[in-house]
Amino acid sequence: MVYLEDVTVVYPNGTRAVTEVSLHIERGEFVFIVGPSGSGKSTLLQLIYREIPPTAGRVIVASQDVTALLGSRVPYLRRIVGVVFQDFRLLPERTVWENVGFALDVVGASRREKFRRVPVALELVGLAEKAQVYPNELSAGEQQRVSIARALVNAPQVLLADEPTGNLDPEISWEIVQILADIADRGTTVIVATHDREIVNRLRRRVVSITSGRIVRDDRSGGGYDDA
Amino acid sequence: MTLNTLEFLLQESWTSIRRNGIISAAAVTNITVVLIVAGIFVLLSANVDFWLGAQAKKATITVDLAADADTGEVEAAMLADERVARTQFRTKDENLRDLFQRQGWDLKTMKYLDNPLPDSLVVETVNPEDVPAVGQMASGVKGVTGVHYAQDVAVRLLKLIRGAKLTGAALSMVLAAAALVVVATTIRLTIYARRREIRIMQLVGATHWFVRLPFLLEGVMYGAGSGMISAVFLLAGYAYLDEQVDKTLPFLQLVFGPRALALLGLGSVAAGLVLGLAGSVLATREYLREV
Repeated sequence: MVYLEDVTVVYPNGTRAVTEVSLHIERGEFVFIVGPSGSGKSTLLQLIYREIPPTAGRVIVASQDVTALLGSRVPYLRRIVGVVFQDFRLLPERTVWENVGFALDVVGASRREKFRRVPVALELVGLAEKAQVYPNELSAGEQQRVSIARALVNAPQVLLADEPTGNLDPEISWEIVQILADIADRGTTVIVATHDREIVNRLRRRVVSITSGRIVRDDRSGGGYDDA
Repeated sequence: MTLNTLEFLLQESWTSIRRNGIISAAAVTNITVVLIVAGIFVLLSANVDFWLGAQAKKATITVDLAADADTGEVEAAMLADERVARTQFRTKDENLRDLFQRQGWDLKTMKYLDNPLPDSLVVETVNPEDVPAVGQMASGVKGVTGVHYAQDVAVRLLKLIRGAKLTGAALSMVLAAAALVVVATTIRLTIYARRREIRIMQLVGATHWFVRLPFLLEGVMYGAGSGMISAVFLLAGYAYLDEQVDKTLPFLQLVFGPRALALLGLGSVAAGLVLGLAGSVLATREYLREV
């Protein structure tokens, strides 16, 4: 589903964020990308949702070569790649329902489609009964669940999460990760960048460890954060 | 485009206009002032053209030719001047017949007269206000014995009015440029205020045009609103003026047909739309990518 081949990213200021990274991730797989801050985890995700192009190498997402994707085609890639962030990025003046529906509004979905899909997405993250509540009335964990529902409502093939538990306490983090694992088990490819040892060690899924922009370990058997 | 999409876009635009409050009002006021000023100049020049145009445009120069003049040469000399539109040769007999007709004399008596009139060229200029200058030029040409033209007040007035029109057009342009900047700045503020929303839209797969459209619509709404307000002011003011002129200067006629008025109203709205759209195109081109 996601292929990176010898990908290198050098930022205009000369910083080398990622060096010759190759990574193959299959459909429905759940993958942790772990590493210290500044190791290139976020850059890796940004390559996949085409926030940045690679300086060298190739990136293929859902059988599409996105290496040299035209700017006008990027929105269509974003419709099959959902993204979740540490800071949730919800719209405070819109209800939970509207926040999730927003993702459908902007891709030109019909009202009927919205009424069909939003409840399903909210159900999936266990927030069906909070649909009419505003984000600031929710706990941090609930807010993250809304942002997951928003990323899912377009039925993406790939779900990316950049430090999704960075603002959450351990118990809530575990809930969020379980939701994400659940999503992967339903067939969506899920890639989570994190430096949260606890969730990685507890879930036991594939772990890709990255340091200074290079992959130093790819444990497909379901390793822990620090396993050598 | 689904109904839901249309509703979404319109709502986005309207929300930001409301949130911008005072700034939106400033943008609308600014465009309205521009449209009113421009409208006044358009009305003024339309009426002046109407009053003076007919007479002034008929202004021609009659050039008398010496008996031994080379008509072709004189004609060539006249046409060499780029202010001259065309010339027409008239024989002295034709001139005499004209004179008789003008005076209402019996044409039958014409043949008993030894024609004292010369052959002549009737010279028409491209611009009526060039008549005096061309006349002067013509009097210097070899073979020309006399030059006649109407030293018409209209001709001189027209020159003056043309200057006023140019000033009006220039002033309107400057004001329009200022309005453009205000609209662009207003929409830039909107873009800034909604940068979170824009980021999210881009993340969940909104196309560039979809992101841009609400801002363009916002500009169009400013323009349409201003256009309508200025149309109301212009039409009401003009109707009042027409009434006053009728009372005090009954011999003057203003251009005041239903067609002219409809044109004024529609023109004002159209100009507003163009200004609003241009401002928002500018703003979105400059700032949307920076978000």
